[in-house]
Amino acid sequence: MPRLNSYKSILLPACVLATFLATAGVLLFRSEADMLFRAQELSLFLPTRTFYHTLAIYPGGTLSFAACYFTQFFFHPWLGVLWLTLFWWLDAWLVTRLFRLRGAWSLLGLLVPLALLACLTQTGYWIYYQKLDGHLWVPTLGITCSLLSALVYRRLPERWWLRLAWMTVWGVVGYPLCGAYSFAGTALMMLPAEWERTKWQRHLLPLLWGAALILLVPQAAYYCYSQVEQAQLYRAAMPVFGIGTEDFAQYRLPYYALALALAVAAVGSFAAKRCSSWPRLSAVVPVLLVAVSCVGVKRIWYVDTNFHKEIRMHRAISQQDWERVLQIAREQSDVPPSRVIVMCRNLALFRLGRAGDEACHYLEGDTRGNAPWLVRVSQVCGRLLYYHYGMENFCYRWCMENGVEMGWNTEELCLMAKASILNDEPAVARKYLRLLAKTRYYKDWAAHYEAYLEHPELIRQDSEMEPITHLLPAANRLDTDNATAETYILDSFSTAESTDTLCQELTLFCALLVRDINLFWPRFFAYARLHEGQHIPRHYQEAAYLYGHLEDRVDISHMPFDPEVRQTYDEFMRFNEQCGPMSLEQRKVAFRPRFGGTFYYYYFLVRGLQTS
Amino acid sequence: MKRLLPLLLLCLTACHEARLPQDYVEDDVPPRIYPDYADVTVPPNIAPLHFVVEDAGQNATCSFQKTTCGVSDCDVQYVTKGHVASLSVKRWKKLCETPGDIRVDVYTQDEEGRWHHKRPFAIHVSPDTIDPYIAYRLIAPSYVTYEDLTICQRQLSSFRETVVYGNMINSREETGQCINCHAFQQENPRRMQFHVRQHMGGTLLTYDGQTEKVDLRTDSLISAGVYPAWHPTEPLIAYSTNRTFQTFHTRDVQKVEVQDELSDLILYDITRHKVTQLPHEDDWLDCFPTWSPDGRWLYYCSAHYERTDSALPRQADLIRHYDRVHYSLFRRTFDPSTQTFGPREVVYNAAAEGKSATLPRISPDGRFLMFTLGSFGVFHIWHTDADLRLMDLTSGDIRPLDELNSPQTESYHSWSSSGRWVVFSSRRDDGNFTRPFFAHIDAEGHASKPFELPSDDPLYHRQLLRSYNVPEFIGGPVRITPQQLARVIRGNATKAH
Repeated sequence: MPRLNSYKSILLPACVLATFLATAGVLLFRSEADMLFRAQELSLFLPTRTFYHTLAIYPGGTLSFAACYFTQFFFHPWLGVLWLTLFWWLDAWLVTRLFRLRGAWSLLGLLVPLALLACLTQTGYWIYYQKLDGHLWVPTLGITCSLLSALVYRRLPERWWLRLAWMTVWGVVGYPLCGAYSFAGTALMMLPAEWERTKWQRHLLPLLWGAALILLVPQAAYYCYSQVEQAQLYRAAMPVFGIGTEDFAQYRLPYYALALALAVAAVGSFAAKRCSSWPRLSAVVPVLLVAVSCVGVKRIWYVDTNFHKEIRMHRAISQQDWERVLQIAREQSDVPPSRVIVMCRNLALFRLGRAGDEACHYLEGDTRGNAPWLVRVSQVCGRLLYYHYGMENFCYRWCMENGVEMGWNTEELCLMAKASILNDEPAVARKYLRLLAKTRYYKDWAAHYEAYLEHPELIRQDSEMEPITHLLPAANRLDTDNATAETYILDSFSTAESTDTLCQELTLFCALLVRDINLFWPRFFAYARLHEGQHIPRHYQEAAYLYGHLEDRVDISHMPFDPEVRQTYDEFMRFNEQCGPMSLEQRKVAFRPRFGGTFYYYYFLVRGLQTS
Repeated sequence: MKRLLPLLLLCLTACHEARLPQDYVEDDVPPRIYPDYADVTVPPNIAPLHFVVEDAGQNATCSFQKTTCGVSDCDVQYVTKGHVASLSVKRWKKLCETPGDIRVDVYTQDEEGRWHHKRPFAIHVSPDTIDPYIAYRLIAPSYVTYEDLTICQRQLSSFRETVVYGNMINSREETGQCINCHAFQQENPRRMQFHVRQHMGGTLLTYDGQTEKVDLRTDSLISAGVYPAWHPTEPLIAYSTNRTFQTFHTRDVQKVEVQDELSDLILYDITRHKVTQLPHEDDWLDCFPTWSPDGRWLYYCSAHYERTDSALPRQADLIRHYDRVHYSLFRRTFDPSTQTFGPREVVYNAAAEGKSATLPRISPDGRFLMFTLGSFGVFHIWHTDADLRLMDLTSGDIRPLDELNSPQTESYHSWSSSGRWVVFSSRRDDGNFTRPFFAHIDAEGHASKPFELPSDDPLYHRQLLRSYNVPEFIGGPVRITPQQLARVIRGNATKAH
């Protein structure tokens, strides 16, 4: 009988917790694998003293260091998720042990992992803006440390001085290591374990001492070593949900839920004993709480099709899988594309040499990111675009700016190394490659590019770098992009001149995109000269045919346009007359089926798009 | 006891002195070490020069040997094992007790287990001591953004680095704070100033125990004080005032160009909170003031710039012709009793040579003027061609300091109080991150091979993603704490008039 009881009260709940969390892990992996991979690209872990000290000068820095360590496992999202799930299972188990939850009440152990899951899945565009290093892992590790410290406290012999000594050690050491998460550990120690057996006087001392530690240790840290503003002392190692002067408090909700989950578990241990005479109630209440939490997680889970598309496109670009970029661009979506998607798609078309034929076949759009602040193209993919368009100084610059403001990450180090190689700056490229060589998953990548420093001729053999060399600016000038990557790229190339076939086509393509007739003609003629005897891509022909009709400056009568170009133009104009007075939106709907893939449609009906 | 035995053995092994290999092959090639400390001259009170042996191989051993009295019995020799050659501060001090050469022998073990003895090199210990501390700002070499900035002080005889003030102590997401331009009066750590920009902005001044925040802006100035120069004896600071902007090179590896649209010089009287504008002429950009050691001359650099295209705004014109802005060196007499300046005199007409001279600094004996020379412009820290020059003020002769210069940027520099050492900023390691280098300068102005600021972990500077900015010698540590400074910065500023 005791064996059966133990199975029912411990083993069965443990299995239920494990099954539940495994399901959560699978869900997380299936929905967010791309985001998790991107998160590790936007994080950095170096197993060096210097890196540790960089983080550890702030309270909670050690926690961040450990979090960065685990974040790198998202390189293989399944592995990162497996680690996370194990930690969540450990947290759930610790909660049940700490509060002595048995039977159905042990389900309350799930509330903490569910809150941690919500902390992670609400992230969305914060992966680009969050300044806390290792932010995806910090709550999980912080709570694990707190629960462990509290469990040690509970397991100590019941001598008041011994327990207070441990509380003090944790309070003093825990704060520099774990920041604000140490308060959770201290608070858990302050809670009475056996409500019914002990008198309130016995709780008073740990209660007062714990409160004093929570209040005073950060203040002591401020005067002894910390370089943090006083108001930030009690938020150390907590994520910053602010951009500029704006604060987005709604993102702190899962963190409040985390604290609430611990409180509910504590109350649960008390309620479990009180409700032992009502077994049905004992079964229903925890299940209900878990169900409500699941609904909460579902509601808070970040959803934005474009966000995920952007991430997948980014990865495809990094792998030079240009067809995959276009495939993602073609995927049906409930919202028009964002500017990031449009720019990545145009880059892919250009790299495949199909920009002049296909650019207008895709949906245009300027859908803003599903975030309460303006998500900037520069922040999401500006650095990558600058790199691929040969604007290596701007790529390097924005990597540096971002690294300084948001913390260094592997993507920036990779891009800075590659930009420096293309810029013929081997010494600084070597610096970044040496750092990357210390990482777990980028050491081979670093070794590959290290060879380029000794053998620059390898650049010409590199399928990614070789085309970029054609786009490097021929002459130097002073300029600024005003932090708008799209406008700057389009303006720079649409006004540039080149005799290199690849670069020249880009100047024509950009002149086409900006719809500037004056910029178009000289680039069109230059293109025709450079490609004499070759077929001119459809959109360039369409633009020439249209501009020839709109203005009389260029005689197009002798130009050998494709019959389809003329025919489509005539049909477009006829259809336009038939439509009569319509709003721009109505016209878009009416014209799209027949003319959606033409430059005419792009020129007349794709208007008012705003970059960011 | 059985349990203790392995522990004892472990301790004995750990305490065992490393030994030099007995059998080795002589390789007549210098060892590859980082940082490059071969044949450098060091002061006796410098921290140990730890380095990494970068020659391939499974192992390395280094010997540091010093003959202190000419008899082998009193030779000092320490041996290190492994690719990282590091000695304790105590042992290093023993080696540096007397002037002379420390002979360094590097042995490397190849993959087959054979030892190779590389060509030995010397570290020359000078009899001239160096000031005990330097102060610098640690800043990532970013362009517009900044986050975590610290003004630090480093004890040169050890690896101890402490924070004088870090901006994060008064910053949060919505209120960024930049700190810059720390400066001391005659290396005195009790007389210091630095600027705080944006949030809680002002100039922080500590003067013999009094600390205050000052607002140097007045209606007639183009900006608050920027580049400072403490008068050597009086409670006066000369500043440039600058309206600065920056743009970016599209191709040049220098990446950023920082230019002054307007700049003038002012004098600030600390005791009277009074700002006096120096005589200035339109179309002249005055910058980087510095005093002669007797305090009777104010040196500075100045560029003449007239708009070439009147249709363009001045800034746009400057952007277009950025490489036509050339600064030369000038000076004015100064009468401390009346606080008045004399007329301008040319010290070095760099513009006439199509060059640009900045950052003049005069040796404490008044004989030498060190400055930075580049092809154009004022912000030479970003100019790869920027090099140090030394002018003998007695003869007017100028020579490039080839002993100190590298193919990369050399820029900011500061004389030690004795005048026998200089610390200067160089980007020779990687072209992007500034590191402080030290060099000995003898009475005739000859410089020794410079050495990089020693680090406990010799790879520290390779991993550090920040630059050392404005290295300045100080005679001791700044005692006022960051928290005390933070409190003053949070308070109201005294308005200068």
